[in-house]
Order: sequence, then structure tokens, then C-alpha cells
Amino acid sequence: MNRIRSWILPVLALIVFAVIPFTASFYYQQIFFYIFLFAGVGFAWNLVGGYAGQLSLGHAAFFGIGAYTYALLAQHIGVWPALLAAAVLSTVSAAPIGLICFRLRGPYFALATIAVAQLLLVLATNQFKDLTQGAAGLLVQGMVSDPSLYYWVALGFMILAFAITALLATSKTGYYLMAIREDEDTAQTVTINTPLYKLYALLVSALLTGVGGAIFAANLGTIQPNDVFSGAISNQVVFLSILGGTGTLFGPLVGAVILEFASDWLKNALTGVAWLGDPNAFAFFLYGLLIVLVVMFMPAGIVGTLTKWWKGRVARVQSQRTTAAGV
Amino acid sequence: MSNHNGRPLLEFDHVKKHFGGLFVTNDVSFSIHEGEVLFIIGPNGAGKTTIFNQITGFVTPDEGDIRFEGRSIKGLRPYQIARRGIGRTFQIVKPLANMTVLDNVVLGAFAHTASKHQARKEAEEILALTGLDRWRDMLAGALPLAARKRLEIARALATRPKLILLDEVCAGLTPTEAVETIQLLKQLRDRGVSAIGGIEHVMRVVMEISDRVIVIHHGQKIAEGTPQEVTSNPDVIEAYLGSKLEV
Repeated sequence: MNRIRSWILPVLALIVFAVIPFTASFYYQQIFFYIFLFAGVGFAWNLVGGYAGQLSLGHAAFFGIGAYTYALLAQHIGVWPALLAAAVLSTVSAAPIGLICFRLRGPYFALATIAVAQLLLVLATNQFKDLTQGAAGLLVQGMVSDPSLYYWVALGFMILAFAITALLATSKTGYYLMAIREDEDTAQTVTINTPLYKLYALLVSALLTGVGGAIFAANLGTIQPNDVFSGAISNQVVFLSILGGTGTLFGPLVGAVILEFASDWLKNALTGVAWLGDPNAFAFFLYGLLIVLVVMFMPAGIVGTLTKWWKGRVARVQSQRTTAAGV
Repeated sequence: MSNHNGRPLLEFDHVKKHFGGLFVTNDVSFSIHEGEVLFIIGPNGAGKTTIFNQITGFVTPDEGDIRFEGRSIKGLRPYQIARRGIGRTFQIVKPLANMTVLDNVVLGAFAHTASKHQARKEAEEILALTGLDRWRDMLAGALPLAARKRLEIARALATRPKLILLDEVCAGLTPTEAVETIQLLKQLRDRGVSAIGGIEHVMRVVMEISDRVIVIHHGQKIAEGTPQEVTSNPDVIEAYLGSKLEV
């Protein structure tokens, strides 16, 4: 019974997602494209940042490597081989990045990840200008013939990312990652090779993030380093995961839905309000305010807070029951 | 005392460790045999926890060797030593606070199975054994201290250790709670788990369940023997209560 009930919501969501493109305008299809895409990347980030508790603030590194690998190779080796190459290269790049950054713990790890993404942004803009065309941008070969089909590409990507992370998170690996998050010393005393598992989580996360970057680039049609390697990408992935709930299965999707709709609604609502000035800038201000409020008052995020409340209720009822039974 | 057949399970062999100019472990040797319960006692700061940290790989000895089942474990990482079959608890309890009590123990059981079903089954058994089943779905961070200390033992036990190091599992407990923990430690021995305990103040625990006791003072072993022998040793009394003891 419980098993069936836990499937109801996901199945309903899938049905809704399958119907949307037939009823919504292209504008809203694109909003859903970004919801799915960033939810998928959020799922990927959540393995490292949520379950394993390693606050990566530089996932744009993998996003950008995936995007540029695809952009540079698609017209030469074909669209799907280029996507595969994007997955492989972002995964491979995660090995040295992980080996370097995981030498550090806590805030120092977070800073190192920012530095790596920033370094790649600078390299892509200046040093590898011949390859990337720098800030002038690069034309990107599309993945599908009709722009409206990107909706399905992103939906497929999100489902794949969810399936992989859910499979890992609910198995032995997920327990090991959570133990690492809670206390690395204790994790080692129960036989967990903590450096290996952290790296493992990062490799899987980078693979999915790289694929997300490639899809992002293909949908956009043209990219420049600032689109994919920037802090804005890294931050968005982190924020939507925190909003939805880090270390929860559905958190990133919930966060992505809210953030995308909120920012879209804000931009429209604020346009024409003269005294505000640039509506985009003001939307960013509100966005920042939202993050501060969530971190201060609901650090477990929406899904995390609800789950905690529910689990606490169940545990209370249970211990009352056993106490009443005279144990 | 238990029978000592063959070679010891753990040999702590002339180990030296210093932090700066201070010897925290100064040429200490002892061993423990299968099925034996050994307690390390000594005043605060004597170096008991550092001995534990050296056995479990969190601190590497400067000199000497540590062997488990005849093979050196010196220089191995903590998780490698845990895989050889040495479990431990921490003096300052480290529950995985945002995981439930059950999940804390399931985690330990994953050390020897990849099946979640199997790990859960074993964890439930251990929760029953340790009397923690009442709290199974509660977050570990919300447990009272006595239960958290027992959860440390339960989690370590779930990895199926051959030897378990208990760092002050009775400190801070009420006498009733300490008695419960003594019962649990006796059950461990019945399950064939050797144990090294390190307890300073709750001598009752030491007297009741240890086969052998060693006394550490200023990083040196000053006495070894049965609980009765050790507690009547004048050096030990002096170390605990200070010199010029008036009796």
C-alpha cells in the first residue's frame, strides 16, 4: 500500500508533464524546458552537495565543459556522439578537480570549487579564444529539428538524472554519502572509504551536469563563456536545491518549479513599474532576499522541512504507543 | 580469565608517540586475546584516547608496531582498519544526527552486505539487543545521552567487529544507565566480540566485566593485572589520588 502511494505523485507529475506541450505556448514550453534542465542538474548537484554534504559552488565548471564539448564537436562528429563526448569529458575533468578540492573540507572546499569554475571561465574567455571565440560566442548545432522538441529532451534528461540519483541515494551508496555528510570520522569507523565515495559522487554528478550543459547549449543555439561557466549557473543550481531541500529526492524539482515560475512572474509583474528601474535587477534582489529567508528560517528547504515534520510525528506516535504498551 | 590460546588478537608493541615535546604514549605494550575484555584506565589526559586513536588509525605511532591477527595495521587508514574487524565508539559521541536511529545502525550493517533488506534486518536485531528499538525512527540527534552512547555501540556492532574499542561509554551516565550498559557489554562478550574499554571514573564497570586492566599514567603503562590486583596497587592509587596519600 505504502509502495503504491509513494508512486502516485511522481506518476501524476509525469502525466501532467506529458500533456503540457500540447496545451502550452512555446513561451511556457521554454519555461518548462528550464525547469526540467535545472531540476536535472539540481538532482546531480544534490548527490555531492546534498547527500554527501560537500558544498560545491562551482558546478558551472562541469556544465560549461559539457556545453563547450558539445558545441565544438556536434558539427564534426554528429549530435549524439557529441553529447556522449560531453558526458565523458565532464566526468573525466571531475577526477582532477575532485582530487584537488576534496583535500579541503568545509568552507575551504566550497571556495576551491568557486575558484575552479572561475578559472575555467577566464580560460574559456581569454586563453582558449581561438577555440571558443571568447565573448563573441559560438554557434551551436541543434539537437532536434523542431525547437519545441527540446521540452522532451529536457524532460528525458531530468527523468534520467532523477532515476540515477534516486537509485544511488536510496541504496548503500546513499547511506555512505549521508554518513560522510554527518561525520567523516564516524564514516571511516564503519569501513567507509570516504575519499573514494566523495569522488564517486562527484564523477556521477559531473557526468549528469555535463549532459545538462550540452542540452542547454543546443537549445540556446549560441553560447559564450559567461552563459555556462558563470557563477550565476553554479548559484542557481545550489539555490534551487536549497529551496527545495538538499539531500531530499524531490527537492531540486520542487525548487526549480518555484524559482522558474517566480522569476518569470516577477519579471512580468515588475515591467513598467517605473520607479523600480530595471525589472531584471529588482527581480535579482528579490531572488536574493528569498534565499536569505529560506536559509535563515527553513534551512532544510521545502521538502526537507515537510519530511522532518512528518517523521517527527510518526516517531512521536510510535514511542507513545510503545510506552503505553508498558515498555 | 579467559584461555589464551595461540597468538593474541591485538598486539600493541612498544608504541611511542609524541606531540611536540610531550610523549603521549611512551613505550606502551599490551595485548588482547580473543574473547577477552581489557580495560585501560588512567587519570584524565593520561593518553587513553590516543592509544585508541593509534589502534584505529586516526593517529599514526612514531615508533613501535600495532598488529591485528598477526598482521601490522600501523599506517593504515581508519576505514581499512575498520575493515579488518576493529570497531570503535567515540568518547564525544558522534551520532549521525540527521539520520534516524535505525539508519545509523543500517549504515554499520552495510559493511558486510550490499543488500538494504539484509542490512535492515540485522539492524533491527541489533536495535532489539541494545534496547534502542523504542527510538528506531527518531533522528539520532534527538536522543538522550545514554541512548546516544548505546547507539555508538550498536552502530559499531553492526559492522561485525572482532574487537570493539569503547571509549568511555559509561561517562556521564546515571548508575542505572551504567548497569544497563554493563549488561550490554556482557552480551557482547557472549557474542564473541573482544573488547577494550577505556573508562576512568566508573570503576564499577571496570571491576565487574574486565578480565584484565592496564593503567596508563603520563603516557606510560604503570600497572597491569586483574581488576583486584590493579586497584590495590600503590602506584595506581598514587596516580589517581596524587602523591602523599594519607590512608
